[in-house]
Amino acid sequence: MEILVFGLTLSLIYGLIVAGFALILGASRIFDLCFGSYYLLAGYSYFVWYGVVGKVPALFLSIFIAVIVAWLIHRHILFRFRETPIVVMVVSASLAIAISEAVTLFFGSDYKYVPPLLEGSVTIFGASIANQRLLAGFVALLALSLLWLYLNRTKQGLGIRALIQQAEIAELAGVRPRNIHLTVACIGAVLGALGSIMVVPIFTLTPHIWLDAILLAFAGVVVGGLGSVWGAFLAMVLIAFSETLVSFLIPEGGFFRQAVYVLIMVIVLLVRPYGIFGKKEEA
Amino acid sequence: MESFRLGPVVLDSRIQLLAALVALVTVPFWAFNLWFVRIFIIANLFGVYALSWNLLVGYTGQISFGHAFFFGGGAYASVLLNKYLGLPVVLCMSMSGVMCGLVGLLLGYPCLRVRGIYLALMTWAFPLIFLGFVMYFGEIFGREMGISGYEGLSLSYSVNYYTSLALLVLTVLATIAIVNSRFGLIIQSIRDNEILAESVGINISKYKILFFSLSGLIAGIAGAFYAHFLRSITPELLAVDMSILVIIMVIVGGLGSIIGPVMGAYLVTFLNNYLLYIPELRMIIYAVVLIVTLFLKPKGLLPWSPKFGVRGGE
Repeated sequence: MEILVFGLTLSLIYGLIVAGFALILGASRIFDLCFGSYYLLAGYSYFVWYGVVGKVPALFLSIFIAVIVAWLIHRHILFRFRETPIVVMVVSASLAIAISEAVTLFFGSDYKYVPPLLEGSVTIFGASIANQRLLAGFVALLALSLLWLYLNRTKQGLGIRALIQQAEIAELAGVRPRNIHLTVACIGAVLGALGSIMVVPIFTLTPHIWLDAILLAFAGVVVGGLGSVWGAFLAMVLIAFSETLVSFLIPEGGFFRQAVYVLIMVIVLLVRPYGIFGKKEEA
Repeated sequence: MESFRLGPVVLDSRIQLLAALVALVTVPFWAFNLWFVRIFIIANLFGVYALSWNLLVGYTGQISFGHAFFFGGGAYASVLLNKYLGLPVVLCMSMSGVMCGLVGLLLGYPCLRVRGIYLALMTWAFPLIFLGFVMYFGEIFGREMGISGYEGLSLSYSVNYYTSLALLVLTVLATIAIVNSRFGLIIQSIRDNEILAESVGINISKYKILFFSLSGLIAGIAGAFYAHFLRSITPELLAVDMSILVIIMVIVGGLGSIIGPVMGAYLVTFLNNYLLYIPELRMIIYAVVLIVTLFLKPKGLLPWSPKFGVRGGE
């Protein structure tokens, strides 16, 4: 029972994080490893501001900061290199590491304690679960529903979906890739930042969490298929449940978190090189 | 188009190359202090490491984002052989190189199934999985503390320096030989057009695995040398930073050229260790150097070298 409840909330939160990454990847074909930095910066910004302006304003402020950073990075750096995926990957990876080192420089590399938005815990079906976890699951569900509405019920959402499916034809039909590109980067940053602030009180806040987010995102897009937002979400259900299972079966399970992600990723790459839900294409 | 420039450039660059070589050979005589020689040694080893990545990516087009697996793996293998079996250092280094080559042979096979970004993700996973082993079998690998208390190659900086320089020159010459040989032509044809290469009867799987293994071998030797020079190793050798670092060196220097990656390695190592010795700023400096280089010269500082008639990567 505990496994079910924990796995369910965890898959919702992970789904939120990975949906942001998958959206950027799908719409702009950019492998943005700086996604981990938006996640990291939002967490630290929340840590800095929650005592100053209160928890909820700090949440919005942190999301805003993450969006600004994402916009700057995409507008001035990554957009230039979008034709060569490997260069994008190298540049964003080195930027992400640089940002993580800058954070280390200011805050040190030790663990930071961040208080949960909601204190206390409740018991559901005999499983004791922290309120923060429930809140995180609920927020993730809400955000994902809003994302779904945005993608499926607005004109801009239509443009994004068109770009994901057939970039050239969407361009011919009047979708402006540059605008969509920047919009999607900002939405991705919002989702990543929201996920970060929800997760940080449950897990830990160190300058290395960017790698966790990125590995999660890798596993999500590989298992789900490159650029498929819903495939990535289903992949997250798989990963969250296997992670919960591992941490229940092996006492020092936290140790294996990263290994679980990458192992699932490698296995899927070997069995189905284009992801479980992905369509075959030249990447 | 380049051919009409080839004549004068050959002469010019040969003189430059000779001057550079003379300067490098005499480093221990004009170096200001031991710290300076130390940086030169590290730069030489990173040059070898960069060349190994360049051989794989610049010529075969297989993207690796986990080359720290071979570098760090070579270091760990050699150090463990020396510490627990007491074998001589040179033997340990060559054995760990061969081991990395064999592991590359094994890993090259699953890597055939994927290409492009997927291959990058797959290779990204290798050092992380190895890192998991290092942490799990803490008694052998020493967890975060790493391993120390094994033999170095030699206490003398000059001996270390000349050995590393010899290794670098050997790797450069080997790369030139390989790239200009029949193998090199085949592998570049695979990079440029895989389907066409396959249709004229080239066994592309064989050559891709071969170069994966070769690149692993070179990186493994560089890693082993690095470990025996520093006299202590930590799991940081397997971290993502280490894999990204070699990519930055090659991209800054010029993918698919031969002197380029070595230049990139020297530039990065010197920026890091001599001009600005602030460990926390390391990666920030690299990122700035990388982005500035790509903005000003998108193909790297020395995109291809007309000196050897070797065409560049892209």
